[in-house]
Amino acid sequence: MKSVKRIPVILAGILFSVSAATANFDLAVDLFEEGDWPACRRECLRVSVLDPDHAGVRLLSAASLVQQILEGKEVKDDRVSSADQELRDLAAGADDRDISAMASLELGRLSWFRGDIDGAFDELRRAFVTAPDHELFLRAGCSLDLLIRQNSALARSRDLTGLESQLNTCRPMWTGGLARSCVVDAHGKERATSRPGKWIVAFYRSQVRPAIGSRCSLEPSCSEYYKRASGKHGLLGVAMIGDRLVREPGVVSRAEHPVVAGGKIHYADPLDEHDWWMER
Amino acid sequence: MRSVECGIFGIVMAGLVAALTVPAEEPVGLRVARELHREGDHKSAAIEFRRLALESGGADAGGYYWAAAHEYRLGRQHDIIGKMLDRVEDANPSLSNQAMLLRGENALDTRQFSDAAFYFESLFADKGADREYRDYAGLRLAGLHLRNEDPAKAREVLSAVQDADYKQLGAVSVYQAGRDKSPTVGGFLGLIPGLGYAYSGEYANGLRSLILNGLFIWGMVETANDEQWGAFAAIIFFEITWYTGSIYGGIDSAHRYNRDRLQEAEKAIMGEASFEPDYSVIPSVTLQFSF
Repeated sequence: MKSVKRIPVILAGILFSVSAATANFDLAVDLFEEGDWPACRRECLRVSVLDPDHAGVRLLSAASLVQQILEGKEVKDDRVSSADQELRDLAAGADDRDISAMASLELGRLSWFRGDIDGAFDELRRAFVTAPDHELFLRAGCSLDLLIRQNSALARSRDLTGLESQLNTCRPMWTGGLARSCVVDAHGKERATSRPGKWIVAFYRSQVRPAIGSRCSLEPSCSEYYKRASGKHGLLGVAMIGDRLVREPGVVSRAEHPVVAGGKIHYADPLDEHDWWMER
Repeated sequence: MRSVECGIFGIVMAGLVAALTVPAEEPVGLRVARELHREGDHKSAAIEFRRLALESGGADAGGYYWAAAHEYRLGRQHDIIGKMLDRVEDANPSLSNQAMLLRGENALDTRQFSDAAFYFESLFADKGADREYRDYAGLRLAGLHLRNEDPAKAREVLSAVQDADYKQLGAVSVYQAGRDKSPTVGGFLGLIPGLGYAYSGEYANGLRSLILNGLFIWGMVETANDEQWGAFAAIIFFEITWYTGSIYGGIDSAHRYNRDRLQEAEKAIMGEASFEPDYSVIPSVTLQFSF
């Protein structure tokens, strides 16, 4: 009798859980598309509490972590290992072929980033051959082609006959945007002219700043400003930091946009306040 | 026995009536979203509003998506706002004016001025829109005409805005009477250290640039005369920074001058005009304007 009385409560609970899980999953998919990886993982966690075996959520969560890693964010090793294992399980055992192929694709990109070229080749090829979805097929093919072109040793160690003709057939369908999104670069995208800037900032931060302390009153700090400026505009960053150092006392004395950084009051002077006119 | 049954029936009925007459408690997510908004965590508030939109569906979803778009604007996540506003119009077409207003504001924030002009002009020309919406859009539009170097049109729009007074029209005249600085001239003048800054009225920056360049050029000359080439190389490294900085500063300060002049005029035109959504009535979107 007691269990009968609880039926409506359980039913309401199930209905609420299903609708909440659906809404949260839709939200997680949205956030993934928008590139908000931490928020996407949080939503995945909400769904997985209600439905721990949801394959789509497991994939989305692991894929978000892969994206964070590819963007150069620091991720703890144990989380990387668990995402890697999750993707392997899904690639090998998911009932849905879309999920299995997408797991292979993400696993391939992760292996590529970590320098495991052979592992990346195997996973990307599997994704390319098994993808039932057209967009996924194009993405896997484009990633595989880029991997082969960047690693000429693969042509010698692997039998690419058949595969190359398949890739050549679908090459006309790859857009520039697709190719850019498929590139995996372990060193990050940067201009060659921005490297000296990074070296100078690294030298200053490791050798000079510990001795003289942090002296800049602006936010971002002058070294960070130079790093960003040279990353965005190359050698023009030199002129921009020259201008910044001359302006610094004026910005501080006007005290217009105070911000608290590192427990001290600084004054905001972001890079985009001084290069917006280049983008017009 | 019968009286006991009647009593139970009465209690059940009273409970039912009470359940139907007591207003439904608002969703927990809505309270969380409001609290996050108050704390200034706008990105998290936006996500809560989006969750509410997905859970509620129907016309209510439109209101929640609008609130999410507003939170993203406050959190300066401009790239997602358009997507949220598309959903507002899909879910509840009657919120098109509220969506249009936010589209215009977002376009201004992201410096898409022609898009902003389109949205505000559409709202301003919509005779069916509330007077407050049209007036606010009119003020924004007048500023955009000024940006487009068309003060006559700015005056024309302002004359159609209720409560627009001599202050706003005066701001247009002041802007028209002033002159922009040429970034090209600023850059050329920057070849003489500090003069580019001085051209745009930044005399202190100009003097600092002159002193720094003077000192380092003097250092270069002295070390070259003494044939101390190591010191010469170190000094020239810094001098390149100061000298190129002077040229860049000449260009940048001219752009800053022009931007500040325009923003001052736009600020004078807008006066105290602003709007705030009333979050106590969400998912219905009620904007409180002040002029």
